[in-house]
Amino acid sequence: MSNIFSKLYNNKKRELYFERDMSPDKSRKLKTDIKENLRIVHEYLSDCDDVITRTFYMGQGNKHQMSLMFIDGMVQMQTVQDDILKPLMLFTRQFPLEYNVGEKFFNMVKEGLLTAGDVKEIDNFGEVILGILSGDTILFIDKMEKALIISTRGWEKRGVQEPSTEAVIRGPRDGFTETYRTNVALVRRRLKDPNLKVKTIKLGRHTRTDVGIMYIQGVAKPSIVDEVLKRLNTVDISCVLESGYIEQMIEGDWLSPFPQLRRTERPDVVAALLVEGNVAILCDNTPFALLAPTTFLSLFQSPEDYYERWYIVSMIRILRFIAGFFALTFPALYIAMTTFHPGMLPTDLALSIAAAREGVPFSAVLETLIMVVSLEVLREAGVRLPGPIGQTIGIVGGLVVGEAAVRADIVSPIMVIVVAVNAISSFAIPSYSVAISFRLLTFILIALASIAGLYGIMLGLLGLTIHLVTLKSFGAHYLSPFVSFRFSESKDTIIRGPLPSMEIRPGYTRPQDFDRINDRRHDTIDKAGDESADK
Amino acid sequence: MLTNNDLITVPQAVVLMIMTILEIGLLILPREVAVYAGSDGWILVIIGGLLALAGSLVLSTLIRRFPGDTFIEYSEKVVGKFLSIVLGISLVIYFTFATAIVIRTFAEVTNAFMLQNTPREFIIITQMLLTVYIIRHGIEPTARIAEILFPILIVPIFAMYLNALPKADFTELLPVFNTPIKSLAMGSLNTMFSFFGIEILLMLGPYLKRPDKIYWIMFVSVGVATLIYLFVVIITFVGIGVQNTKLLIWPGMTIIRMITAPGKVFERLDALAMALWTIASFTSSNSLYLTGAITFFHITKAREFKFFITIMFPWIYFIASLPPNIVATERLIYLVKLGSITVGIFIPAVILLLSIILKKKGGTA
Repeated sequence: MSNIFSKLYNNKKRELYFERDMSPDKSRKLKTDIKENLRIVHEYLSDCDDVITRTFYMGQGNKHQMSLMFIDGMVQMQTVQDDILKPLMLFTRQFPLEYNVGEKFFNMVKEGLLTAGDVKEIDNFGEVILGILSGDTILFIDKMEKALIISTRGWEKRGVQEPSTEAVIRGPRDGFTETYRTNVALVRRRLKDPNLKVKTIKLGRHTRTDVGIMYIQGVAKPSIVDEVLKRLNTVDISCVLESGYIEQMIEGDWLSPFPQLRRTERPDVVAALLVEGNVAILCDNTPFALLAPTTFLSLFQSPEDYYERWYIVSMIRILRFIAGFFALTFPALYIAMTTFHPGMLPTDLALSIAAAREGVPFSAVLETLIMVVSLEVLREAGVRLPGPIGQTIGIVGGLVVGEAAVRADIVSPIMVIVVAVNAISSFAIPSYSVAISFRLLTFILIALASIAGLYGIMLGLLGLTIHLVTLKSFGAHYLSPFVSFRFSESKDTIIRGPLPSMEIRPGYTRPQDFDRINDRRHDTIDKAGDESADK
Repeated sequence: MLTNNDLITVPQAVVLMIMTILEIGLLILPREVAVYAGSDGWILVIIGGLLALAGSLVLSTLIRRFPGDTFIEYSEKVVGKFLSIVLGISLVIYFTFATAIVIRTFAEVTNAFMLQNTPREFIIITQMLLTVYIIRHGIEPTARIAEILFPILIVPIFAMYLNALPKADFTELLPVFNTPIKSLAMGSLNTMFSFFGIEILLMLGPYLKRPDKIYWIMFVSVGVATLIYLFVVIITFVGIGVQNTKLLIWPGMTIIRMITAPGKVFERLDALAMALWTIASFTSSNSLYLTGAITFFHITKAREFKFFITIMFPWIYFIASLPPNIVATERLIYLVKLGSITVGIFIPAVILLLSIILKKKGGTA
């Protein structure tokens, strides 16, 4: 009995799911009569003043009635006029056409007359509505149970510009835009590989946003691709305005302060990581692509790391990790050292800190909190204000207020240095999402350090390590090359080895094809008889 | 079993073993060997290491003999169900005590060197909570933590102790082989106690990805631990002198207090050493606590082991806060070390002998 009930319940649930399904309702077929079709479409799109219906006759004698439907501003008017209306209305007048409504006539329109690039047949209202709303043009033909969908999408859009959040000194300057197709094309241009697959689904009940996943077949592990698709298909959300919605809906552990998908504005990063076996998720209306799986280490990497020579990159990477450490712990260390373990500092330094703090009325903890919080406020204010004023805020806040606060003995000058080093360090981390979570964790460490000094910091760091060790991003260990360590992977970790020596792809994506570089230099060098260059 | 991927690889097993062995011994071993053998102390470390290796051979042979079986399962085959459960319970009690003394010693040292006014209970509780946080995830993440923390612990230890070299006086090591055989034997036995922790392998046997590499795992982990102990003992001897070492409670810590870091970045390194000591103690209590919970889990043949972590928690806390002072703690440490010999070497040896006599063997998985 209960079995039957549960079955009933399940059925009901599934119906509900279909109702809310994002794919268009394909069950309602088009009618023969064009007036009936137009009436139904207008029923769907009632009170939508931006929908334009253009009814016209083809050929001589006004016999073949046709209708175009599209949304003003979302189509390229040039295409509609030159490739649809002109051939259908003008050219056909010059030749007598036999009045023969049917499959043959329909095919003649589709294959012989329309000069638009992308034309498809559809036979249901679901796709008609979705097509109109996506910026395509629908051509209804009288006496036909089919309609033509002509791709005329084109709207005002931002051009390809240099990405603002991931600037590089050496490397391509183009970044993603808000248009999905442009973004896909930017990646495709870099990977002329038939194995590069793009699968598009629509997400968001109201937004019907195009969301595409890209991967290279034969490199990306199929289970990861399936996992990404599975998680995307479970997303049932009313709107997807930015890839951040998707990121938050499909990440495994939403209690974690760390991003489990890497996001980037740069097509070259996407291309590079696709080759390493990642899966990219591109979303319409946003210049940010998501990449899965990701590792903690990859969030400390910049695309430039692979363009520059390896000595320089290795040094920069080590600097970044030091910066990361300071971004996380510096204020907490200051509190621990001054409040709990002054004996650990060199005597001169301890004395000068004590002298600097002499007039300050607050405890070191409160002093740190005041400074760190006000710095966060300054940072936020600088982001919100328009460019020129943002810089003013930096100068007024940082220099004037900081200097005045020190003069007024509210904070000690050492504190200003500590907070400044901490802030600058956090900006040296390439990934903004990691930098911001580090700044969040700084507060936790400050609290722990004020409770138990260095032991508190160790507690915090060990807890963080435990969290990172157990965190997984789409099946890949977040701390990937360091857990289940393999020596061959160590060339692309804290340092970056010479490019020819990095012969395999990183293991965290568990790629099907491990070969990255076949070092062929020795072949030619041996031929030249230069033995000294060997090894 | 625990979770899907609860198997640990060979390097993980090695590192887990080393990290379990390295803890209290780092701080007190120099004193113990100095008391027993004076300047010959470092010889005791070598002999103790060899003895521990011999003891671990017994464990490894057992695991090779019954691949894939838990200790409870094969002891049941050899000595019967009732005795196997008794053995299992004694193991659980032993691991509870072992975890408790590791955490208690940590709290003692922290109180002495870093946080004089912080209540000991706070340190014990926070350290236990941290341990529970990781071991709830199972055995493979625990091994992963050890793998991550191993270089973070070992490299700074070497870097720190090497700072003592400029002031070192190597004549402190000089009267070699000056110790009577009897105290040499007693001392070696006592040194061997410092390797307590190897008995976690008794429980981890079925979770090894490559049980056939068990001898290798044993050899490398005990060998590396011996080398590190040897290094620490020698540096302590030449750094502060054998006679001074005898008088100090934690000579391994005191020597770090005396070191000034080059470049005068830090006046003293003891806070840094305490940070490392936190790591050493944390990894050690992790594996001991986890092994205790897993033993419990094997005895009851329950569906999951997390419950037993909760059961053990109040007992560990109780035992850890039981000793009123350092002397009592030292006595408890000695007791646990005796227990380590009993459950870690004596009982497995008896079971191994019995299984050879009774010709019992596990499957060839």
